[in-house]
Amino acid sequence: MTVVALAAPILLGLALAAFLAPPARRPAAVALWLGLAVPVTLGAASLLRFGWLLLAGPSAPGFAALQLGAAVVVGGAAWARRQRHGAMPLPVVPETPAPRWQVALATTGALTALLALAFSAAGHPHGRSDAVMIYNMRARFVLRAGEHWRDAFSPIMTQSHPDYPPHLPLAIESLWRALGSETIAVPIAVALCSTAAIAALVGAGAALARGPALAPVALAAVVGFDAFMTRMGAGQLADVPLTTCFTAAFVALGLRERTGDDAGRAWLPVVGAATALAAWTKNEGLLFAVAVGAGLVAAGWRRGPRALAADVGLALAGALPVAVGLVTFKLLLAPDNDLFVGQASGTMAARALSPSRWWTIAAWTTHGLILMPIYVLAGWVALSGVAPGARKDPALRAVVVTLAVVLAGYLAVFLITPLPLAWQLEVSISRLLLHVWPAFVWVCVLLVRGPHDPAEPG
Amino acid sequence: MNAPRRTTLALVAVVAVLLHTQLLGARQAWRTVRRIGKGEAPRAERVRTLRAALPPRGIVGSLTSLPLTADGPHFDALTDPELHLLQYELAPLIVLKGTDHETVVVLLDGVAAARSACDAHRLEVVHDAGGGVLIARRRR
Repeated sequence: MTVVALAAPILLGLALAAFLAPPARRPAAVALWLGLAVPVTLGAASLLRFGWLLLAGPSAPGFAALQLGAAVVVGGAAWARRQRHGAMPLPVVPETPAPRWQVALATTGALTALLALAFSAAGHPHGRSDAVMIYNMRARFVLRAGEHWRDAFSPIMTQSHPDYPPHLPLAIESLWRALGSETIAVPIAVALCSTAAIAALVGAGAALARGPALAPVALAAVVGFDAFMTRMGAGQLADVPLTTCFTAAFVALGLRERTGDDAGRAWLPVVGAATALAAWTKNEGLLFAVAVGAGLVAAGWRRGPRALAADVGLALAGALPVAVGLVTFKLLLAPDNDLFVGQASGTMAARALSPSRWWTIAAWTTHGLILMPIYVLAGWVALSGVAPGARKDPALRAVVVTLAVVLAGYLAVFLITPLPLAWQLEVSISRLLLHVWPAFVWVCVLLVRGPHDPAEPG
Repeated sequence: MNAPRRTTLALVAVVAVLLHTQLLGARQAWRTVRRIGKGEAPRAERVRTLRAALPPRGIVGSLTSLPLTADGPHFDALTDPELHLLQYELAPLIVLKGTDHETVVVLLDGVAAARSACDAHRLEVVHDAGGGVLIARRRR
């Protein structure tokens, strides 16, 4: 029974990912599907659990059966879609594989990162700071509280941000309930799978968007961020699943533009679903939704208003099921966000115009960029050069505009925060940079000259 | 330099930095694992034992080594790792910062510090888990 209860959410996640983006029979396409399946599995488990808690109650039997039934229905729909429309359309790229030694070198790097990640997870089995304070605590709270599970979102628990969406806590709680045990193996496994999914999405995305020859360097670059792999990945912070959602949306956005005006539209529901899952994970995801909207407009305006509206509609269709859960949570359970409560607009404006705040943010951002290490990506672009036509590439435009709006939003939050600025920067700058690190790597994937690009003139 | 060679050089450079940072991270993480092996975990275990002596749900106050400051209770609660440990271990009880509650859980460094803090706040010890971890009630 435990095996069925544990297998049901995984099968549902795999089926949903196959329905959203039926994978072609190529290793990179399968890796991309598996990378997408991680956030989709966690998202579906938490959304269904949330609905179940609201409508049936925490102890009502049949949750595993519901998940299993949904997996069968969605799996059937995914099979039918594939029979009718085939696998997801992909860009036409040189299929020459990377030399084996390059694959071996990148794999060695990834395994080293896995080793660091395992040591870090062993050193912090319950996770770090926010994992203990917010996500794992709330999962325990919901599991232990029974019929009083709503207490987990009590507005008096201000230290645990009860307004944060319950994606991660409910995913963990549902898996604990399936296992019948409050084991720390579940949050550790969720963190490790989410981290691995980021690497899979960028590595596979690079192979599909630019050809397999660029995949090893993209994979090495994305796992090369020390803080990303060892501290955050093993820290069980929601920032890691959030980054997985961001990465899935960025990669799908790039593939949408690279695949072509009409065929590429199939990627838009993936963009929408990943974006909505980001908003279901952390409040930063709401800003990300605005940013993705800007990215869609930046890339799609050249196709005309009607085509752009159709693009946005497809993305919204992918986002809708998750958005329903998020709106329900915000209306029924979430207290107001502490960033805006009791803040007069005049005070916020005065903070935003304070030169000392700008200076403090600039100093901490520089510190964070050095830690990232952004210089590795700069070196990659300098060594490889820029791909021909990159300046007019709509994929690059969509990703860069989205990234710019996210960064501008983070800047705005730091400018107006009512909490002590230096403290807020100290505890959050590396996490915020983690959110965008795979996107920086993805920009490089789209930007650099590949081994099969034509030689520079002269 | 041709394009394949450039990609190769980029890969070698990226992997070199990756190996360096990840091995440093692994070394640091291994030191943490060894430190835990030397016995830094019992504090959480002591807090866990309080659950049996507390009500199954409701609100309790807390007294930790981080005092309330001029920045206000919200910020103090955000920055208090001992409060977070108490909340994590004692859920589904709601643990708030401060002693304005009938029941207060105390987490301080050592038995003497915990007992003297109880006296200072007019609290009566009702359950002592040792090591500065205890449950207290308001004196009537």
